[in-house]
Amino acid sequence: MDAADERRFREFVSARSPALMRLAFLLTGGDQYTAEDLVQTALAKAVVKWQRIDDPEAYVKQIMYRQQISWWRLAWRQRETTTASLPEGATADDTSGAELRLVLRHALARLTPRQRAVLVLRYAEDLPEETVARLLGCSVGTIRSTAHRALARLRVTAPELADFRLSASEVTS
Amino acid sequence: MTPRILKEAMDEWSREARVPTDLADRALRGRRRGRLGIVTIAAVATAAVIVSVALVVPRLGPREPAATPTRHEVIHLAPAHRPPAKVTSGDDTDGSVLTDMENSPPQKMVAAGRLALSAYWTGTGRDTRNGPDMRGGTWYLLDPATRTYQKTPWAYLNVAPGLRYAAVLEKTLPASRIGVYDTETRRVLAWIPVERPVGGVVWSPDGTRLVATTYDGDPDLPEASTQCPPGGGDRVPGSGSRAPSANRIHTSRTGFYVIDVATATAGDFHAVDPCSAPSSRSRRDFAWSRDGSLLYELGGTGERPELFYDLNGRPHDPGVDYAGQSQAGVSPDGKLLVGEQGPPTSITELATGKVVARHRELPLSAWADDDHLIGRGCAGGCGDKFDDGLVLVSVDGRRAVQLWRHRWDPQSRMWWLTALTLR
Repeated sequence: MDAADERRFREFVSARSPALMRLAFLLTGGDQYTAEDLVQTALAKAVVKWQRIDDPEAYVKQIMYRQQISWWRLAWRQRETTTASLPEGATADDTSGAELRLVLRHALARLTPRQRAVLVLRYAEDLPEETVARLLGCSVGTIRSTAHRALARLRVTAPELADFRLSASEVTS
Repeated sequence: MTPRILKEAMDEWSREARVPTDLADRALRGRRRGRLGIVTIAAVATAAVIVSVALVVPRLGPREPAATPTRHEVIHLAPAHRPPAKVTSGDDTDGSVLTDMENSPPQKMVAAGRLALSAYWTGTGRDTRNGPDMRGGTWYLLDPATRTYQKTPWAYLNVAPGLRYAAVLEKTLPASRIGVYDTETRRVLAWIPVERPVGGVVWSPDGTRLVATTYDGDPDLPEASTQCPPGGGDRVPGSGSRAPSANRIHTSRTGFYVIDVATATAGDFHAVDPCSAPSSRSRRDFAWSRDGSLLYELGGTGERPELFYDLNGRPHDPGVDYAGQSQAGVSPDGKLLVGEQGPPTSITELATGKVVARHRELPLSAWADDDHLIGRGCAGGCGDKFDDGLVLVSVDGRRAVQLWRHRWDPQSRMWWLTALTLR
């Protein structure tokens, strides 16, 4: 990597690190340190291929998606998700929107990395199922079933969310 | 729990992430914090494990992505799912019949089977020497999450199949850019700039492209009369003759763009002669053929009710699925065809040519499923002859349900436009 490439790399990191950290934060279930690790690992891999990468952000994100799942899948480091206890007295009757989001956050942290990655890609990143399937290296059917199980698990771990409509079309759309 | 709540929760949560200032240094120099050092080693080792596993069981370990060029998607469109097949009962079923009989204009979602009232426009018209001045007014857009209609600031909009996205134009027309609005997140995903100003936009049937009709002036304000040249207009396919030109036209239409929404690029401008059709309207937007392969505009004559063009703006024969001058067209299962707008409006069985029903009062707009249509009008019991609205009606016309009743004062000069879109 020459000086010009290094300058371009630094500019990229400076401009996109907030977005990459936010994505990593979600993928890791709200773990700041693991999120930093994930971004750094992906950037380190990008440096090696920097001159051949046309779309650095897409490349780095793809490494992050797969790396996060592989860390977990290969049991190299089984990470406990952050599962602070739910707010006292939070019920469907009196739960405000902000409290519900907090409940939802805790429930998201309890998902497996793969389930969380599918929800993050589908809903936070707004990617179509086909793209999610390609990024995670599996079929569209697997993405649908994973999303379905993830949303079902959210309802189980956060019954406060049961009052919200959850239709099959939303699961698979 | 809706996708929007999920997205909002994740967006809010992700904002808690702190951004280290030395990420580039860490990646470039292998600089390690104490804790990070362990993780980085673990990551490298993990990569080695992945490679070895991949040799034995290729599908088990994720592979590192190849550094290949990719189409640069600016907007990641969620694919429109298949619309509900049937009109169903129950508020939470996919094809549910949703009505709003209390409010005019409607405030609650109106829908049946495959279709929903996705948006409507209301405003007042003012007569001018060249035709009605329809500028101003307000577009209301369906918010699928809350199932309500919300007032918008846009000068023009069109909703994509699936109800999630709307193409929007800012006031005043014609506009120099097109917005792609996401009803889930309630924000404009991207603005697509255009060199020639645009006055109307329509989504393709597959929800991936837009045809944007360009104008030099406001399409809702009739232009001063312009004389077309004798025999002006483009050559009619197959006839060897030129289209009859209008004596006078009142439009400033110049042509169109076909826009690839995902990449947010307008592509090439295609000029189309406004003298092709003897139409006196000022707004002469292009729309898509049913299969999305051609564009058309209303022709204005009985002989040529619709004029078709290819996507480069060249005149073209109608597509094979052309159903004649029928707004509703062929039923979803391809068995029945709604004929030219009456009254009466006939419904014909395509296989036999047999007329299976005649609707004497309702103009039929679109198929809600294979057995029901949505028409514009009153299902009976309306208090005033000027009341109309949207009606769900069976093919045989025996059963009808008022979806929304439009109460209006004919003296008010109030105008309405309603848009039905696949759910």
